[in-house]
Amino acid sequence: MTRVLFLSLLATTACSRPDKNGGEADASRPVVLQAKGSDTMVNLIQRLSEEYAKVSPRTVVAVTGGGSGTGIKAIIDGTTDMAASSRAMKDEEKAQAEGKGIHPVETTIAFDGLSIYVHKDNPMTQVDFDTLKLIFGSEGTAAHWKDVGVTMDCGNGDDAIVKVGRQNNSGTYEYFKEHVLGTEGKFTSTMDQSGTQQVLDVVGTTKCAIGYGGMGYSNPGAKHLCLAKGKTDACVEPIEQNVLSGNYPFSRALFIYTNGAPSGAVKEFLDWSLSAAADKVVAEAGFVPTPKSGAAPAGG
Amino acid sequence: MAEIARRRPPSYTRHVEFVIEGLIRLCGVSAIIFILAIFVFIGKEGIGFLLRNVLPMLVSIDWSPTAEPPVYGILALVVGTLWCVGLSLCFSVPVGLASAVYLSEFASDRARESLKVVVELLAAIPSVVWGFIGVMILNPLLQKLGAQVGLNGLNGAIVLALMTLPLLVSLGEDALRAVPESYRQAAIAMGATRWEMVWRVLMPAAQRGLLVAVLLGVGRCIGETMAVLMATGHAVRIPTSIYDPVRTLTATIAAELGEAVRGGEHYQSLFALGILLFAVTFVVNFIADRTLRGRRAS
Repeated sequence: MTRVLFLSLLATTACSRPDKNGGEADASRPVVLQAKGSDTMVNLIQRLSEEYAKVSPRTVVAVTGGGSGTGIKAIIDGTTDMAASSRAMKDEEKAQAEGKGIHPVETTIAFDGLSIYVHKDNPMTQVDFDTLKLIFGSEGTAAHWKDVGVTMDCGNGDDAIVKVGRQNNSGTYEYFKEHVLGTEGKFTSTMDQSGTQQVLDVVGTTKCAIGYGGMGYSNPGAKHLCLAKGKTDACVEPIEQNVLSGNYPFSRALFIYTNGAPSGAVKEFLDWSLSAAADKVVAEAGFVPTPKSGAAPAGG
Repeated sequence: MAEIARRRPPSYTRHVEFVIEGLIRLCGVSAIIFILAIFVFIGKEGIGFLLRNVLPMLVSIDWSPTAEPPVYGILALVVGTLWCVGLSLCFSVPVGLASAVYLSEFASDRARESLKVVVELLAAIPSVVWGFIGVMILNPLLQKLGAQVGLNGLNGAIVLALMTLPLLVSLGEDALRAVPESYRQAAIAMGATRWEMVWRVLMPAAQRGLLVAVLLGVGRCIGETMAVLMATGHAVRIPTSIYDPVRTLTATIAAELGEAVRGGEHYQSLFALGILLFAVTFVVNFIADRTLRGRRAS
């Protein structure tokens, strides 16, 4: 199910590694950068690379999905220039990289708010972490919508909650698990989809479904819930300013990992992606640009 | 042969013959080499893990390979696989055998030839396209019929049934046509109707061949990956209703192998699943082969 989105199928073999990092290569040759990893970030990097091609036509970024774990694995194996990850590298992954002589360096490229989606006919408008834990946790007791105080009829008088999630190599899965269920926590049986859009598509067509994923995605049949930390806290809408202000309890940084500090064409691409010129692209892809003042938002 | 041998020097002919014979022999043996190589490759990666964990794997329904600590229960995956295969057989066996009977006994020559072409065309549809059909067509259809979730075990089973139908129809038809014409004539001469002839004479006579068709269909179902990954909903659970989403062994390997760290426990566990699948399809095919031999012998 690896989603492969090649910006261009220009000969990837045409350039050698010194080209990318040394920078002083033959100017007529395209420089192809590999970016691999998070499915959440595929659209983001794809759009960034398309816009970047207008600024620097010589650079081509080949974007591949597969999940954050896949990207990190690729940077450890040295098979990609940039690993896109929606979670920080684990200590054991770092140790593994060092063992192979790879020194991963982290660059925050944007921020993402994680939304909770339900079907548009669901009367629910807000949700909190405790409720989510009841629904998604393996020890949760909410199997029916009435267990969380929602009156629903999904046909035949049944109101069983249809739980939709991501497969276990997804950074979104890890992030949700850590923050809702705790590091020791476990998911109950969910329908594991291989992409955020697929989660939304199932939720949008299934009346009793609930799912989670990036806030930049949408489906006409689904709506994003207002999210509160605890039952008594005020809920916060999953929108950009709430992520940037740090009020939205479920936001995260999106990372690009490189082997050593970014240099050459990779550095140029990342510098541009972090510049004010790229903010519009990031926002259009449904993510939150990094603050230009230098202050990072405090997220969930 | 004699003429060719006369025209060419004998040593030349012998050399060419030797080389060609060697090549053909190599091709024949290569199948065995490949099977062994695959067996060694899969076995090497997963057998250790399988032997260490076989009991906890078989008794737990919890498949959480990335949890801390990881749990590798495959019970739900095995049940999911059997569930899909079993349900799909409920559709494909009656329909497939009925079409085989129609094609072999009732259809006119022209109808048979054109229908066979269509059936073979059905076999040529790639499995990812079947998955697409499950997601785009069966999904909303099943929801209209009262399923909460359109991507479920029933959806996967229908897709599998459609995929195995061509196999059942063509093998079933072959088996029925292999029954000697004298059986039919004798039955009709005894005053049997055509239906009685099919049911009481042809079916028992072609029994083994029909069983082989079904068994090969089962093997195909168990090994199918892409279509079930897309259509079944991919949820690890023991189904309690035909509308419950399920997850199969093959889909699990396909969805997770890309991420599993090479040589890690998760990676090995997926190969262990592979060994299991290999073993099951091997046994099914072996039984089919035995049955077929029995038919030829009798």
